[in-house]
Amino acid sequence: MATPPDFTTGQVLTAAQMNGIGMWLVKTQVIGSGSGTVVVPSAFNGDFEAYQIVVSGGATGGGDYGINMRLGSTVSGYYYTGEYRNFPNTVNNVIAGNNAAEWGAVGIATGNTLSANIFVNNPFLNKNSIFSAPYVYNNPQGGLANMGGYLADNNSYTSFTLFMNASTFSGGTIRVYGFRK
Amino acid sequence: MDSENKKPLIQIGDEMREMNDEEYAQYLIDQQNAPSLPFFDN
Repeated sequence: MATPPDFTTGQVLTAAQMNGIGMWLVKTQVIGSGSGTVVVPSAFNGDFEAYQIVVSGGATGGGDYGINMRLGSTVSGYYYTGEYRNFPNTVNNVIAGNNAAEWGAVGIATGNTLSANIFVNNPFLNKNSIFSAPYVYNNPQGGLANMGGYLADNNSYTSFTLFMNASTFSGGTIRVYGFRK
Repeated sequence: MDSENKKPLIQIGDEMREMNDEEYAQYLIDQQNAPSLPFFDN
């Protein structure tokens, strides 16, 4: 038998093999055009403790902006920080939120594409939710941002919101993956 | 409501609609806070 994930045609998959799969697609949500706020319901559940949220494709309706994130309808208790260095190495900014209303700049939306790669631990558990998110601002004057933070409550969340502080989304896809416990 | 007073759209799942008063109030606060905008300034 081939070693997973190198399966062979017609092979019967056992429970042990299937249970060895580390990541499952929980849901896909297509982003429409004209809104800068997208709520993703039914993203987190008891099957998983940790998630990867990938945002790709699409663009903004104009301009380049950070994408912010909230869990459920909570608008306080968000702590985050991150660093951004641009490609010309002329900018090295630090951003931080101290009991903020959101996790700021967890990804980026440009006129070319949306881009976010957000790892979230514990959102469904009655524990602090913790995120980390590296991403690239795809512009010659852009660069690399590396963000992280947590939400200081022990609530269980099933949904999250991605939003910008200006402009609107024009298409794109949000995919939520769960890591097998 | 005329177009001048139209609130921004919010997408919830696959559904797009105009923000309600509560969502719009938070939207206005978010515009003021704009935490991410200075981050990428050159």
